[in-house]
Amino acid sequence: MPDKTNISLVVNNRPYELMIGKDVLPSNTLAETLRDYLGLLGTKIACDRASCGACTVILNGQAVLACTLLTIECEGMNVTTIEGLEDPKTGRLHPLQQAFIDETAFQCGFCTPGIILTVKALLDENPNPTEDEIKEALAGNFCRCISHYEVLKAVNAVVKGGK
Amino acid sequence: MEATEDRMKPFNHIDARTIDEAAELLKSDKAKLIAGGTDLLGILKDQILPEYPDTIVNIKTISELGYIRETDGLLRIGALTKLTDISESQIIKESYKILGEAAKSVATPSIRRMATLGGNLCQDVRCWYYRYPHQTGGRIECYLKNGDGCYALTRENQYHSIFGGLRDKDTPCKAACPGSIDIASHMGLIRDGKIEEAAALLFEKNPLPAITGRVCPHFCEQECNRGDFDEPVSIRDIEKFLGDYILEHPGTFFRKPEHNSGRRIAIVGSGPAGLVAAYRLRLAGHHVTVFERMAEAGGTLNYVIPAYRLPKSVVQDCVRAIQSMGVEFKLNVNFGKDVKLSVLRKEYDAVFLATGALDPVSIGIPGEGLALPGVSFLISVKQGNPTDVGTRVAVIGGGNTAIDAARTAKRLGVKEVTIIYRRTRNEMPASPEEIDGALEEGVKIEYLTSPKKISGNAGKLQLQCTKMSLGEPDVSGRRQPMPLKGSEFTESYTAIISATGQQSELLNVKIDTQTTRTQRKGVFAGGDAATGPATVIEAIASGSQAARSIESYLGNAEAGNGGKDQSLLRFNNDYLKKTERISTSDMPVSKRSLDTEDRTYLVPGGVEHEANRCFNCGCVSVNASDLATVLSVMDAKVIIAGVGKAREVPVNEFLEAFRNNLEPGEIVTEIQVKRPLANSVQKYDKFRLRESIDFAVVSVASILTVERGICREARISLGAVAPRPIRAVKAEQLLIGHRLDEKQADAAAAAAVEDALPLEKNSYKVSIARELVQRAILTPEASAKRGNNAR
Repeated sequence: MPDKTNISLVVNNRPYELMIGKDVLPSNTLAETLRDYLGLLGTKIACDRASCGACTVILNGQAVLACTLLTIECEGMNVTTIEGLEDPKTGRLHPLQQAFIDETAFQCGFCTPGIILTVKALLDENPNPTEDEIKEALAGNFCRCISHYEVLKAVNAVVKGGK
Repeated sequence: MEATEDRMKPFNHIDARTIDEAAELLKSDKAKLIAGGTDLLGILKDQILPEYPDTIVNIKTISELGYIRETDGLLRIGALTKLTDISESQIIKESYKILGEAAKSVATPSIRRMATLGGNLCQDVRCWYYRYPHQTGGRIECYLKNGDGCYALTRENQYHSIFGGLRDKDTPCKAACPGSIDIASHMGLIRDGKIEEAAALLFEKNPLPAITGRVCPHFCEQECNRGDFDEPVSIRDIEKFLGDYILEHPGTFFRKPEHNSGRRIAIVGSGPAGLVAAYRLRLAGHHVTVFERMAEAGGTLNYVIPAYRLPKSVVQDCVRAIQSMGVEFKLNVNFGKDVKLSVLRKEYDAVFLATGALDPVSIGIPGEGLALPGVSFLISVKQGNPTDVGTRVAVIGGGNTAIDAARTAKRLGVKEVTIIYRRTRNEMPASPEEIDGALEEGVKIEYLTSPKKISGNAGKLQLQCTKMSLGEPDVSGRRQPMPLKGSEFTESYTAIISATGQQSELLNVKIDTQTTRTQRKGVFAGGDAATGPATVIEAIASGSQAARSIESYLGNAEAGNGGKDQSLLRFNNDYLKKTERISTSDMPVSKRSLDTEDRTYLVPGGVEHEANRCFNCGCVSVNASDLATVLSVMDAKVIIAGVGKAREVPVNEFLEAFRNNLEPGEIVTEIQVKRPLANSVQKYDKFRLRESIDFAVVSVASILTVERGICREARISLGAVAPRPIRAVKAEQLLIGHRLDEKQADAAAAAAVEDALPLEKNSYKVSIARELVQRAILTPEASAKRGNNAR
């Protein structure tokens, strides 16, 4: 088979063409490419072992762990990071982001992008989840500041607001 | 901006478009498959493997591998089906409930969206230190990572196997043994009280254990992992015990061949290499004739090694046993004179030269002709006609021949015996215990002393020497002695024995020591004759190799190794207690003599005690795959594709091979499960410390079918308790045909863990397994069904 030379990727609605060997190495994870090559530092790398959820991004509509995906395997895919949630024209925050601020659903904020993206993917698929469904969806997002209660409030605010 | 530097070791990445293409790429052992990637990328990032793939073959690009289909009561799931899809599948929820439950119990939703069925089933075994060595506070020894020992076996093992370990490579003792003797296995047989089987297993690799049990330098004991814990297991003493057992029952072990091949083999030399080749070739049905120069067979064993180390009777018993199989010995035949190679080649189908290495190597000093070669001296003593060496003897050299000659001289009554050696004790090739023995018996050793010249007449010799100091290491790695100026001195001796090495008389024959083949067709050579002076066990291994090579030369297939042993290693419950090593010792110096064996025998019970001390080294990791446990209880089938071929394997057989269940180029493509009976109760229970992060500490999958109050079908598998899922067969049998009441549940739960053999810190896992099995049997659903059916 012919060797791939490029990776096409859409990140936050912007297309990118990455050269393999220069812009991205076969061993680079999506989290590394987003942060180090594209400068999108909202995606966090904490455990780097698929255990904490801090690196969560939305890939083709599904919340996935960017630390455990090779960029080279994301050819043609659509990635949404926390930077892609605000309205590009007005700069207004996404309602989820606003709800997290309103409910102070974080302390240090390190895990927040991953949590918001996990919830976003859930709500895109299921706009009215039950509390159990929210908890289940967030089962892989860890918060050392223990803001989980406030997170639930923030998510519920959006769910109820949407009703 | 630039790409992030490699944090994993660099690799090529290839997208496979078809299974055939992927299989072709995976034929290389440097290629590794990526499916979900959740297991593989963690391993690559942690850099915990001894070797790394240079190519990652991506099969996510093969679209046809993700599906869930049911036809005629058979569920087929593509290997690349995501765990989320399995847990959400309607058909699985309805009829294959535990499959969905197991999939849903894996880690977190994000991981389940990425991880695949095939990846989960094929995940590597799990040991908490294998993955996270830093948790132990530093480097650890890991058997799976090319280490010799297992950290978990002797230290922290709370999450590890309770049903025995896995071994997919040689133990350090076996690896250190030139004869590849499977020591741990015969120790296990002794623990089980099976002495004859233990002897038979040892005998298979080494037909002369009574001899090596006495003279082997036991490289095995030097590598024994128990040595780091308290003291090594007395492997050699056990070998001697089993060796003597074999000689006491020669008819059981040295059997006559069942048929005669009509082929004729000539063996020249009857030392260990010749004897072993004779034994093996006779066993294969050939007519074997051994030619021996001396009046008795046994070679070095019979004529050179002193009787106080190896009594002649032991050697002669071995010779007699081999003779009883029909091997013909022609004694007093001088090879090269009485019988020529050209004649042997004509008259025999193959010739094996095992003539030893007895020609003395020259010291290279003036007057060396006045010295007596060590080997000649030893032979004269063993022939009962010792050369007179007077009262003051010097022995030149530092190997075992030098030590044997010095100790023998001392035992002949020589007042003063001095070994002259150029380097220090550290560099001496003789084995440490032999050196100690010599010193105990009053032999003096002059280290850093080099002979310069011998002069005088027989019985009245002068030896001129120079003192040395050690300089830089030479090619052999030993520090090179340098003469000290002005340190010359001269001493008088009644005899000077030179033992500075021997060589083979076959120096002009080209020998491939790996195969024992020579440049001449049908002529093989091995033992010391091929390698120069070496140990008895090396000669035995060489004799065995010669027999294999001759067999293959004669067109007979070489016997295979019988495949990989897939049984779980049984540890012994109190192997971790520090215990004193029981070994044999030498008799007190005052009682030692020329002809009686110095070394005593193991005290009664010593054999069992030492076998109990053997760790049975292996790896105590577990298979923690949730899907593996459930598929095991469902008796699933694994469909495997290879290059241009496919095979189907029952999942329990697939998992039996521990880690290497796929051949190079093979890929799991599909899992097939038969639909459980509609009225069956399925349950998957998983005990772990923190949900969403941790792997199972113990899991139990069960399928129970109850009709009219009686259990008709019972299938129970335990997960994360061994390197593969364990089917609780005894428990299943106790349930079928019975009511599933508390009493039966108790009995079955006890039976499920009856064979458990917990390590020091994980007996709690046995209690949990028992509890989970009991719970499975008494699930509310099962009770409800029992109630309904009873009415």
